Amino acid sequence: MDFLKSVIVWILKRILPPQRSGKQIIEAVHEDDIENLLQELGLLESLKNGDLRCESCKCLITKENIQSIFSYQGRIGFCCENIVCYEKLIEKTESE
Amino acid sequence: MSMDLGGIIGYISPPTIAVLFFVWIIRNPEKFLIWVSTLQRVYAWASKENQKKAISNEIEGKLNLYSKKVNSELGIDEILPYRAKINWIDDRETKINRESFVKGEHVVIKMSYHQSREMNLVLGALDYIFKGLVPRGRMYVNNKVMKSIDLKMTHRILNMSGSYSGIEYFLDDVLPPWLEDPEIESFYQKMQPIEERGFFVSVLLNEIIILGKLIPLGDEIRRKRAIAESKDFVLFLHDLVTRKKEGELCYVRKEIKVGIILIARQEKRLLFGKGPYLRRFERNIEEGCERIYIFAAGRNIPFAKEIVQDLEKSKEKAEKITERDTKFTTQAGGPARGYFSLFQIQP
Repeated sequence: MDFLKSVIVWILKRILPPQRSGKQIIEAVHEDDIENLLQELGLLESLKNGDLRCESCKCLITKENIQSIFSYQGRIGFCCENIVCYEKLIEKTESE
Repeated sequence: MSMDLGGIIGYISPPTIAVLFFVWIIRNPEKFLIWVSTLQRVYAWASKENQKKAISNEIEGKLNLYSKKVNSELGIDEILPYRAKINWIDDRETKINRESFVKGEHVVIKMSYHQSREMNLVLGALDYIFKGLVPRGRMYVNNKVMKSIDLKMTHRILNMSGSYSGIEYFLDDVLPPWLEDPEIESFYQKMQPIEERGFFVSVLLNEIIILGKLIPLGDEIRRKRAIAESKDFVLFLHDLVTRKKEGELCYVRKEIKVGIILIARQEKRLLFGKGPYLRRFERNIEEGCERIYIFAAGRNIPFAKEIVQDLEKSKEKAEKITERDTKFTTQAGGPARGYFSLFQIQP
């Protein structure tokens, strides 16, 4: 039985490609779930009242133009769909 | 002949096909994920959950497949060491609230099913590469140089995906804002010939990985020194790949100590044989190189392999770390077969 087991392990080791152990998480939210997420964060009212601004270009954040929600220095920030603002956000969070 | 064919057909029974397919899946999980995501798109209209599965399987499948290809160029998993995983924030077991969100480090990206699929891939790729490319070594590289490397790698990954609209989106919208910085622009332009000649992954990224291993965390003096050298090293590589004449070159500073031997001139090979290259190798060691790369292309590859074999036998201090067949672009712009070998010199 042990022999059979070791044969199976030997075969599997040769068939299975080596796997990378770590994962890099990309956090995502479906476009239809944005309101739910903002509700959980207690920010839906602020969105509706027009109180949320893009961290980078300071434009008004709406349900349509929001691209990213992030936590930064103990507060929550937002990024609009302008790719330049998104890149600035990545750079900012990466350099921390 | 007909017996043979009959025999072969006999082996291709449904169970055999099922077993072969199963083996293919476990050997190519990323390709399988991409297939699955294509199928999931067919019934994605039915529910939001299906759309989420289609999006995440496509992005994970593509990023993991292409990052594996990049890693295979060097034969180690340290270029893009982590697998990409899409984590839908609202699918977590513990529901998120304001307090926990603020405490964590989150960047949540909106993924849209209805807009361009390439947009999702570009957003995912930027997040994945800007944080996950040579993670241990990137802190020892000048910020502007590292940014140009990140952008070059993102472009490379999108090229692998073969998605014209994704590449177009990257070139038209993503890249230009970064290139407004003249230093990033200058380094990014330098990356092009370095990549084309096959030095981008095999030398540049490899040296960054090695910096991450050699410099102890918290050693700020060495970190600052490496940051300064990294900038200079890119200029050295650019000069090397853009000059017309063959030759050996050394880059020996405090942190980066590299020798590069190009085996390119056939007349030299015919006239003098291996001798000059073996002597160069010895001279590189005397000059303080800790790693020596040997590059060859086309018809010079078998000759280069002979030199490498000789070096393995004759140089006790030199240990062959890796040896790979590659592809690169010639100075005339055509594709060519390449080869490189890396020796580590023992102190």
